Amino acid sequence: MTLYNKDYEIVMGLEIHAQLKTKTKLFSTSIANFGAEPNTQANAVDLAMPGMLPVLNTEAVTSAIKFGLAINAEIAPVSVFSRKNYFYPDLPKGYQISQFDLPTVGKGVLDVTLEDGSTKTIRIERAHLEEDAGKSVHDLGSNSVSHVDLNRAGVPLLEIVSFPDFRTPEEVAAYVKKLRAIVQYIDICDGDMSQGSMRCDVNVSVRKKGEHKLGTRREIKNVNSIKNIIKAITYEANHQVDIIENGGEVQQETILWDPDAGVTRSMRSKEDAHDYRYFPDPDILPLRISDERIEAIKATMPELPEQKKARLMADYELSAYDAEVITSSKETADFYEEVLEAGKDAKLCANWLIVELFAILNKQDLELHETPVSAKQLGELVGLIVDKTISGKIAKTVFEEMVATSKDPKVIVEEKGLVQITDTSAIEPIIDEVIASDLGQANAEKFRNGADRILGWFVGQVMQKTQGKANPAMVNEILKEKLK
Amino acid sequence: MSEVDIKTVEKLARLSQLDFNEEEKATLQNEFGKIFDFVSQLQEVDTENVEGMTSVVKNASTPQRQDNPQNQISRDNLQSNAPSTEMGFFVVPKIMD
Amino acid sequence: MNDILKLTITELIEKLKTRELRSVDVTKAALERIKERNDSINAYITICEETALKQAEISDQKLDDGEAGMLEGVPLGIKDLFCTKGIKTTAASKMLADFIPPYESTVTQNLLDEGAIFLGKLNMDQFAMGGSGETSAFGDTINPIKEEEKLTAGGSSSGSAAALADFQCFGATGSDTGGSVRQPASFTNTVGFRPTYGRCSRFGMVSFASSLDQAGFMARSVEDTALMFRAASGFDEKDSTSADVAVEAYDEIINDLEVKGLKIGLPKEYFVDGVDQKVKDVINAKVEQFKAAGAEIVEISLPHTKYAVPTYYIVAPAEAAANLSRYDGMRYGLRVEGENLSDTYAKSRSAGFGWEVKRRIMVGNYVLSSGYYDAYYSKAQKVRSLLSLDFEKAFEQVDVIFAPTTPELPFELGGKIDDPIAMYLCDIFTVSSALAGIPCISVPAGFTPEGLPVGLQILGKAFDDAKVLQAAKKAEDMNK
Ligand SMILES: [Mg+2]
Ligand SMILES: [Zn+2]
Repeated sequence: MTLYNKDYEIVMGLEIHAQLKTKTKLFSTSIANFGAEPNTQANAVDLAMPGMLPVLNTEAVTSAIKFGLAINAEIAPVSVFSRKNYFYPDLPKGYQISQFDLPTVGKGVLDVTLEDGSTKTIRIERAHLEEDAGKSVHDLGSNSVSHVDLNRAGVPLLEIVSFPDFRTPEEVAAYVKKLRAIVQYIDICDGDMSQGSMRCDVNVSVRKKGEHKLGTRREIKNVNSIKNIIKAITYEANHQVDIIENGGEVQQETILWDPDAGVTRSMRSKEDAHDYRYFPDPDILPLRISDERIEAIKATMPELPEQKKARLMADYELSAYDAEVITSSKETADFYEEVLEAGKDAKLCANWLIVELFAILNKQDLELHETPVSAKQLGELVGLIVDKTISGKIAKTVFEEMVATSKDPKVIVEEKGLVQITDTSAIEPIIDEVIASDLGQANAEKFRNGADRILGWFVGQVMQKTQGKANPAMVNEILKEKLK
Repeated sequence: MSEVDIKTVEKLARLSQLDFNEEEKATLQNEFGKIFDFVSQLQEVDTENVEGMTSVVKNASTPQRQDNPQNQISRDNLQSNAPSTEMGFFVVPKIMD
Repeated sequence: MNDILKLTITELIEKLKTRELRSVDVTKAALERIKERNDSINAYITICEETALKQAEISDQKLDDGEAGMLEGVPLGIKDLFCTKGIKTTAASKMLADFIPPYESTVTQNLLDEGAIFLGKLNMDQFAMGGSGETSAFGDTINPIKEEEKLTAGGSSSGSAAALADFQCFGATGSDTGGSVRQPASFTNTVGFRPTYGRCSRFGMVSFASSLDQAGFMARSVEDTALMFRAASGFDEKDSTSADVAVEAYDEIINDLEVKGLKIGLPKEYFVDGVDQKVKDVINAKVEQFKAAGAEIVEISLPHTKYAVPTYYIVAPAEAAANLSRYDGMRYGLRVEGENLSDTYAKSRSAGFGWEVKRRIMVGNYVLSSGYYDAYYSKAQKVRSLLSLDFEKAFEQVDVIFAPTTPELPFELGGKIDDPIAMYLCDIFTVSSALAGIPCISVPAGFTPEGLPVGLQILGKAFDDAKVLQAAKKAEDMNK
């Protein structure tokens, strides 16, 4: 349980900054990639040199429209870029160009599935386009200076702001995962939280249960993983309850999560920092988006997680749980599709992916993209079961070998001679041999006298003699016939 | 006369990142009084149902460029006016969060 | 002084084309004149002797080869607000005293592409904020007309106006945010044209107030400004407010206007008591000349005129406050080291900006700050709409509007610098059109009995730049 004090509840809202995957920046033509030498991807516009002017990147606008369509939001026919004024060395113009009262994407909704299988609808207030800031490095050389790299300055962000609809950290986690899946599906953001391409700010407040007024909120900035989000919220919410219970008052402020210490810390408050003096940027005209453009983008929208889940359930009769797990990230869904291509049997493929492969990944603490068994290999393994080349039981042995060696299943089956025996003429003499043995004769007697369960002993013997390669169904059938 | 107190002058100086000595602050306070008296004439104008004019260019949409990188001036040239650089970075006074 | 310096640009081009004159000789003569006079007039901040002569040599070659551009070999002065690649660009401030841009502004690039020669960078009010040239960090500019009286040449394009009036260049760029080419033109008996907003790219022009800034063109004849304007204007994809409207051959069609039947509006708000009678007399005489030539004179009203200056002094400082935030001493420009980051910011900016600039930044941040935004900034935006509407209505009735450029005559340096309101009120007839973004020009209309120049201002509707220039050409012809 999150809160130790059961008289309280937590109220949370999220602001997520998704870095858009455009080639160039929001308002300049420099490259928006990462990892380049400092300041080699920052041009005169990014450096805010005198007389430099912004020109909007059409691809960033398209990305915002895609997102709006994905959450069923209204796309504003007219949106406005404003200047948010504050001084900071990583903010070259002394203002950030962002959308203030007229964002491109209006109200929308997102349904998230919780652990218990229930669904909760989270309302999204808005999503707006804005520029990223540069990066400051504090530990390079001399202690008395910082170093500024403006390669990131001006990279397009979509800031997605939710209503304060969250009551538990698990809801927050489910929402973040869902949002990440969506931006990946529509291919506007890589969703990598550890790299900072998706950054979460959580507004946390607490109140006594039954109260309607919102408590004073504190904003936890830039938490870089879902695990840390849960930890940070849990710590912060209990901390706020403690303050109130001790007769104090929560002060509205911005705080940082310190993952090493496991506590939240307040950022040194900057005086007057909140008076951003927003006003419409006179260097940019209002952004007008036509219905035709929206329709054209709609026509290119890929399948979204919700739609894919429904399709998997309808077409392949997957369970809601399996379909949810598979579609929860684009990576998993793409992986599954590839497994299915070679594996054919949808349910069996889902099982092998969710039960067998995920167990291994969990055990070895690997991400899906680090898997020792490729999607194609896993599909081929399932294919071998489907075409009866090997039994399900043998498949587990093969799979273990695949995990250990990353070899193709066919190679392993061949090397180890694990091909299933489906030839009656090969199985029959072995069955005869078992029945003819002393114990076999005795047990056959018992079977004929009604001890059905003794059949299992015969099957076991045959499988042992064939090193598990005999087709169990055939063994069963022939045994029943011969023991009559 | 519109009164602007010294505290406001000081707050504006912080927002503007400008330093003023006491005498300058007093001068500004005095001048602001006159300036805001003067611009307050606008309150007489009936602007009900009037849209603000944020740009001379009316009813146009801001131009949108294609998402293509363009050649740019070299880092050395861009940094040739910089007060201080090191290893390609701009060197600035220590930033404390 | 070498008499060739008195030629207009069109006259000079003729002589360059026939090889009667060589650009190198003309450029040398102009540089001579500048060096001889800069100590007393102070029109130039930077003189580009070497590059100018090199450019002139190339121009002469091109003229010989028959590859001449529109302005091939013509020596111009450039307001020090336009970034010029490899040439110091200061905006007349300490902040940018050593700033050398690694890029060229679109306007100056267009002029270079047409063969213009840059003699140097012209003095101005710091960051274009001022109306007398006195806010420059590089000293006052002296009006060459009645030099001994130490009158202002106007501002902010003070150096441009003075250099022209003193024959230190053949044409000059200026910039006009609230009247900064028209008022100095009026004070120096030269022509100053402000095109429709968006006609000329703002790319590479040091920003003062983005929704108002527009490049301007100054010369000793209307046709010259038309030619420079034609060469420098046009759509630019690097400026989002640039207008994609075809450029006309303004110089070639300069005489294509019939005065007979031309409807001229005289706004009654521009001929009120506060206007110097001597100014009124000169303007009225000019109106009479047009009437005599068959123009129809219509009294019109621009009812919100009185609110133009207060509106301007909210909108312009607000935009300026943000536009000048980039000058923080971190990436370029003056840095004065302080005890910590914030201290360094404040020390650098305080040392880099002059008083007028600081005051406007403070005012701008005031009108934008929470609690005041609606009362000031938002209100001003609405009144701006009404001012713009005034003009739209007026141009339903008339072709062009005539008015004085300024309510008064050139005044003494130091006369108003300590009274911001008095200084701001000088802009009363120039800011409305700037707020509306319409084309306007100041053209010499005559002199007072004491020999002080008076400018006639002609305003047209948006993108009617050609008509404004044509009407100005008629007014100029009538001076002869
Ligand atoms: Mg935010
Ligand atoms: Zn943001």
